[in-house]
Amino acid sequence: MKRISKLGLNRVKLSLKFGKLILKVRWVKMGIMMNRLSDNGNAIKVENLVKRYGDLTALKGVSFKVKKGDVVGYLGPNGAGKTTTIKLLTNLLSPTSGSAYINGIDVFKDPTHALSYVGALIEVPGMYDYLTPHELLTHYGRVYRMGTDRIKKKIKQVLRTVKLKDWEHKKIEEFSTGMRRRLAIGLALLPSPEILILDEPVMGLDPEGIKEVRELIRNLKEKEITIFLSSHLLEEVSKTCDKVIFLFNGEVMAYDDIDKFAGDSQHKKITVEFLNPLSKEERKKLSSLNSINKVKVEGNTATIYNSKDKSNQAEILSNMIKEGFDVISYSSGKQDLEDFYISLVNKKGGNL
Amino acid sequence: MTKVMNKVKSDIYDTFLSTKFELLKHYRRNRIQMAVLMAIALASVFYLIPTIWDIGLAETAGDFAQLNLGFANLLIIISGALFAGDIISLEFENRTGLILFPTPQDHNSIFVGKYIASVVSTLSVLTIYYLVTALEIQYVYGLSEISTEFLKSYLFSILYMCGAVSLIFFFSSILKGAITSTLLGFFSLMMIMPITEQVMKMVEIEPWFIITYYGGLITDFFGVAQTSGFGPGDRFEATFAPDFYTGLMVMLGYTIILFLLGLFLANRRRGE
Amino acid sequence: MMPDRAAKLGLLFALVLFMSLLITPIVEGQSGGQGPSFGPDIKVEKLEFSNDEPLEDDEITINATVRNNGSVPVQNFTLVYLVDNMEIGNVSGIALEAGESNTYEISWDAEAGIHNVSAVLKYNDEMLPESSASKELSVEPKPVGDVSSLLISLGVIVLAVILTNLFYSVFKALRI
Repeated sequence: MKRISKLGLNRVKLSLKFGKLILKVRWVKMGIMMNRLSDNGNAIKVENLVKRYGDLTALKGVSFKVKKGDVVGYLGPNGAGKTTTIKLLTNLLSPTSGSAYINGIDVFKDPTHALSYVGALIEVPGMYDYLTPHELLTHYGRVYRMGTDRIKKKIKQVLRTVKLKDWEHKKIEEFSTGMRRRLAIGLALLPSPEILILDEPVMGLDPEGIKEVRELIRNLKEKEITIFLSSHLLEEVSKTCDKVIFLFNGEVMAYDDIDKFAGDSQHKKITVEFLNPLSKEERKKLSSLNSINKVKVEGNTATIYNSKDKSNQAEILSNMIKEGFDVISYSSGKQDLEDFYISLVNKKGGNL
Repeated sequence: MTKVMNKVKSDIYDTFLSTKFELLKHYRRNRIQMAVLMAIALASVFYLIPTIWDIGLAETAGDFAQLNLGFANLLIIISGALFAGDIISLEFENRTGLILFPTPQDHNSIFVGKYIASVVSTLSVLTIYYLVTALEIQYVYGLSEISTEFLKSYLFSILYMCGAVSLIFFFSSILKGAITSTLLGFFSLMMIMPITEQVMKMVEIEPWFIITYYGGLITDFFGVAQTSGFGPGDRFEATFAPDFYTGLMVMLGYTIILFLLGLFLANRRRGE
Repeated sequence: MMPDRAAKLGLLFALVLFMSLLITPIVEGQSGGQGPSFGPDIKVEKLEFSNDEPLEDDEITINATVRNNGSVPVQNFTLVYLVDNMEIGNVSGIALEAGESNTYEISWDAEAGIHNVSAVLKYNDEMLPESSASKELSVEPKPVGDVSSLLISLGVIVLAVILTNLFYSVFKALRI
C-alpha cells in the first residue's frame, strides 16, 4: 500500500516537473517568437548608430533595416564607415551611441544570443596556416555547440558549398588567396546562419577568385539566407544584391532596390558625339544650355545629365544644333548605379 | 539566476575550448615538441656527459639535482616566450578570425583560455624536465633520495613559471608586433631584469620586487648559497639573499596583477 | 754533641722539605702547570653539543667539561671555544680544586657546513694545546620554505584565474 502511494506521489512529482519543463520550453519559445514578431520580420535593424574614435566620427547616426531573405549591398567609398558598421553589428566594436538588433535581439546587450543567428566574414581574416580546414571548422563547430556527428556532417557540407571538398585535411598554408576567402566564407556558413554578413568579400582576389566568390554568393541567395554585403565595388553590389544602401562619410545617403535606382534614372543620361573635340568656350556654351544639369566632356564625346522629362531631350538636341554644334550621334540611355553613386558623392562634395 | 548560471557554464566551456584550441595550435606549430626535446636534453646533460666521459656524477642526490635543475630558470623563460610571447599579439597582427570572426564565444573566455594554454604548455615542459631529473636520481642514487626539497623546488619553479608567463602574456597584450612581444618577454627575463637586479645590488638596494631575483631559489632548496639570476653577480651576492616568503608574495603579485592587466588590455584592444 | 748536631741537621732538612712542598704548588700553579713532575693536570675532558644534528641558524650550546686531575688546586684559567680555529667565545677565571671537574657552556648560531669545534685552556694568554678537546659537527643547511606555503600560493593563482572568469561572466550576465 505504502509502495503504491509512494509510486503515485512520485508520478505526481514527475508530471509536475514535466509540466514545469514544458511550460519553461514554451515560455522560451514564446520569448523568441515575441522577439521576432516585435521586429516585423527585420533580420537586421540599426538605429542611430554613432561611433567616434577620438575627434573622428566614423558613423554619424546610421539607421537602416534589412528584411529577412533580402540581399543588401552596403556601398560606400573607402573610409565611409562600412567596416565600422559591420564590426558594431557583430559586436567586435562597441558603439558610442545607438543600437543594433539581429532578429530583434540587441547585439550590444545580448551578443551571444544575437550572434547565434549570424555568420560573418569581416575584412580579410588571417588564417592559421599550420592548421587544416577540418581542425579549424571542428573548433568553430564546438564553439557553436554542435555535436561531433553534426560537426563532421556540416564540415563536409560546407566544404562542398565552398568547393574545398578535397582540401579538408590539407594545411591552409597550401591554399591560394581565393581558396582562403572561400574557406573564410565556409567558416561563416558553418553554424547554418540565418544572416550572413560579408565585408568586402572579393577584396584582393584575382578575377578567377572574384568569379568563384560571386557564384558562391548567388548560390547562397537561392538558399534564402539574408545577406548583408559591404563593398566599395559597384559591380560587385550590382551583380549580387537586390537592394543597396549608399553610405558616405558615415551617413546613409540612400537605400532602395537596385532596379529602382536605375529605373528612376532612365533617360537622365544623354551621350553626344561631336565631329571635333570641344573647345573650352564650346564646353562652357554647352553647360549653359537649358535643361542640362551637368556635362562631362571627354574629347569629342559629352555625357549630359538632365531631368527626367523626355521632351527635354529633344529641346537639348535642337538647342545644340541652333548653337552650331556639329552633332554626329545623340543617344539617350539609362543611368546606371555608378552614375547614381557618382552624382550622390558629388552632391556631398566628396571624391571617390 | 538561471541566466547567470548558464552564462557562467557557457563561459567555462568556452574557456576550455579556447585552451584546447591553443594547445592544438602549439602542437601544430611544433612548439610543444621543440620545448619537450629541449627539456629532455637539458635534464640529461649532467647525467650523460659525466657518464660518457666517465668523470663521475655528483656525490649526493642533492648536488646532482642542484646541478641538473640549474637550467629550470632558462627552460621556463624559453618555454614561456615560445608559448605566451605572441599569444595575443599575433592574433592582432594577422587580424585572425579570433579578432574578426564573430562567434557566440565571449572574447574574455578566449583570452583566459589562451593564458591557461600558455601556462599548461610551459608546465608540461617543466614537469617533463623534473620527471627526467627524478628518473636519473632514482636510477643513480635510489628512489629514497628524491626528497621533499625536490618537490619544493618543483612547486616553486611552477610559481616562478606562472609569474614569468604572466609577464610575457602582459607584453603580448600591449605590444602590436608578435616578434617584438616575444623578444621583449624573453629579454626582459633573460637580461633586462637581471641587469637591473645587479645594478640595484651594486648600490646596495635589495631588488626584492624583481622576479628574476628569486630565480635562484629553485636550486637553493638543495642547500647551496642563495644565488639568483644570470650574469656576473658574484661580487654582490653576499649582500642580499632572496627570502622565500617574500619571493612567494612577489610571484603571486606578478602572476595575478599581470594576468589581470593583460586580460583587461587584450579585451580593450579588441574593442578599439 | 754528635746526636744533637745530627738532630739539628735532620730538623733543618725536614723544614726545607716542608717549605718546598708548601711553596711548589703555588709556583707551579702560577707557571701554568709546565713541568712534567710537579705541574697541574688540568684539561678539557669532554666536548658536547646540545644538538648533534643541528640545522643552519640553530642556536647550539657547546658544553666543555674541564677536570683538574692534579693534586693541587688551580685558578685563573680561561676556556676558549673555537670553530674551525676561529674563536667564538670564552669563559675566564676558571678555578678548580684538585680532582674537581666543571662544565662550561657557550651558545653558537650554527652555520651550514662541516665544522671542527674545539675547546682549549689558556693561561696567561698562552694556549695549552695538550689541554684541548675537539669534535666534528655537521650543520645541515636550513630548509628553504615549506611545501604548504607553496601549495597555498599555487591554489591562490588557480583561484584568481577561476574567479576572474567567473566575475566577468556574472557581470556580463547581469548586464543583459
